Parts: sequence; structure tokens; C-alpha cells
Amino acid sequence: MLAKKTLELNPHHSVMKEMLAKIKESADNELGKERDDLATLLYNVALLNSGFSIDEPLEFTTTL
Amino acid sequence: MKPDQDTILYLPGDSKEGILASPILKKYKKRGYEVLIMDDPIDEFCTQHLTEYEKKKVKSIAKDDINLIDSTDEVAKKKLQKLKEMYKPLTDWWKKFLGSQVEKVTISNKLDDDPLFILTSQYGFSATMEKVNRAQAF
Repeated sequence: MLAKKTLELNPHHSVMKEMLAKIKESADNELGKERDDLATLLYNVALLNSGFSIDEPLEFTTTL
Repeated sequence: MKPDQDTILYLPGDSKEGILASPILKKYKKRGYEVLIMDDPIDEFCTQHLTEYEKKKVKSIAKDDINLIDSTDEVAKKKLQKLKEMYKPLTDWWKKFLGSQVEKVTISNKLDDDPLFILTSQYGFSATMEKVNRAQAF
């Protein structure tokens, strides 16, 4: 059994502001490959920061 | 404890240093709340059963059912509500992007200068308990 996770975003952080702007700009609400990588990276870092372990360390280090 | 702090707060983790550096602790510290540091794996085992002490609730700040920051400030509450609406496209996108990895995505007022943080639900396992559980899986 795994923990049920709630992701909390900080609306005052510049990265989040930029991501919101980018999503609003794009017509289909997608961000493209580069942004996806960034999001994965942010998520994995947040996992570590929050005391979880990450599922695929290799993938994480490669993106980094 | 601050006079208006009606809950005993704690934050579980692996080491004292690790807990003190946690992004979720920063704002509580700034606002002057007192948070117990729990760096032993067994601590959380106890707090699961010890939900109240001297009529004060005992809660982990790494769970999503607790929010003391600005809880009495109506203006700040409205502001947060506005922000939530404004950031709806982004939260929707994150939810879609992460799929079943997360239960929900919300906008937070608990963070200071970190972009995002992962809390656990009130009833499910916490991060520390997840580790404990993994270690003794059979």
C-alpha cells in the first residue's frame, strides 16, 4: 500500500507562474516535451524533499 | 506555544537535520508556530493512535487536513480562493500529467520559497510510514 499523495503548488513561485502562462498560451493545454521533462524533474525533487523515495532513480538522474 | 495554536503540530522524518530543512516547515517557523520534530520511525506509529493530548489535537503538518496558516484571516482566505481559480488550468494539467501517481493537486499557502510539495492524505500512509512499510514487507 502506498501513500495517497496530494501535490501542493506554490502560486507565488516564478516557475509556477511561468508554467501557468505557458498553458494559457497554448491552444491545446499541452506544454511540449521540454516542459514535460521539467515537470517530471520538479515532481521527483518534490518527492525527495517530502521524504519519499523515487521509483526510478536512473530516469531521474538522466533527466537531471 | 503561540496562544492561538490550538493543535500540537509535528513533522516526521529521517533525521533532525532533514526535518529542519523541510520546505513545509519554513512557513510555520516564520509564523512562530511550534512544531515537534519526530525523527524516529516509531514516532509516527504512536501519533497514529495518540490523536489528542490535553484536549489539543495532535497533527502532522505533512498531511493535507491541517491548515493553520491564515485560518482566521478572511481576506487571505478569499485571496487563496481567487488564486485557486486562477491556477485551475495548471492544477488540471498537473493532475493529467501525473495521473494516478497523485490523489489531487491543489494550490497551497503553506509554502514559502519552494515551488511544490507533496503532502499525504489524512487517512493514508505518510512518507515515513511508507518507508517503514516497505522495509518490513513480506
